[in-house]
Amino acid sequence: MSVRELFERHHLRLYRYFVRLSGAPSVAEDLTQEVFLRALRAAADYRAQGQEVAWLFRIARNLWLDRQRQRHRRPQAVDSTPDDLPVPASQELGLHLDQALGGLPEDEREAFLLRETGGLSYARIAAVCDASVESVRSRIYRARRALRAALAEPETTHLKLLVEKP
Amino acid sequence: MENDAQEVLSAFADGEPVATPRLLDALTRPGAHETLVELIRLRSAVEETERDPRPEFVRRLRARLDPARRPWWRRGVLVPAPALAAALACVLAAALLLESLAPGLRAPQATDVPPAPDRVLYFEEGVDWTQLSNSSRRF
Repeated sequence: MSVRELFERHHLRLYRYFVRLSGAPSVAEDLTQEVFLRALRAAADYRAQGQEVAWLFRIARNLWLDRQRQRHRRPQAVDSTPDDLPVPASQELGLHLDQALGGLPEDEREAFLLRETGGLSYARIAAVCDASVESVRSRIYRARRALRAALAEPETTHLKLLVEKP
Repeated sequence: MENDAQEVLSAFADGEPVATPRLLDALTRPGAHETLVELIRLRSAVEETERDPRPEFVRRLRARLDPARRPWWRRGVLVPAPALAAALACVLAAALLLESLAPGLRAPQATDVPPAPDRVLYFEEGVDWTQLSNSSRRF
């Protein structure tokens, strides 16, 4: 499968993954682009057919971790600059969800997003994160428990509102 | 509901393989239905708030990744080994043909025979040099 075909199939998932991680569409665009450009450069050496999604998300994860390390060295870089880009379908719920995600430990947030946004199986998440399947299962469960608690607080109750709306 | 049972339901909601006795135990516990509903609500919340990239970004990146629109030296086209071997054979044949047609073009070969002199210089004793008696030489 060519990188172009991979792009058509998976760019949306990768973009959404980066948007959730960074909270900034412009950052998500930059990182999504970099994933596919790196994939293009490495495509000739890639041999593990059938594992392309995990491969792309592994590149994505490494990019994100590199970026986080650079940001720690240069704290003036800020993601929260306002973007003139598309807003969430449900802006308020999206904001609370992003805040709740931001409060999770890195490993739980990562596993949760790879599952929900990336659509990866536990085995593939384990391969991407260098973890065991059991560990991935626990991380996703803990993330869900924390998110449910955060979104079900009396002042928000977004989960109920979402389902009860007409 | 205990955490272990909730973790089983979480994996079950993701379509992951779960041991049947553990799943049965988790599903028959009080609160199992509510837990599953909450999990689906959370998934729905994530889906409802997903954002899409700008169409112009997608268009631009798609064009960048299109092999036909990239310069040939950046396409990373792999040359099949037989084609590469045939090309090398053609170059070699062309070189041999050129050598047979114009042997003078070939670089001179190394040999043990010294070249013939094109002039000879003679040095005369007493004029150009003098033999000294105390074994030291002076020119």
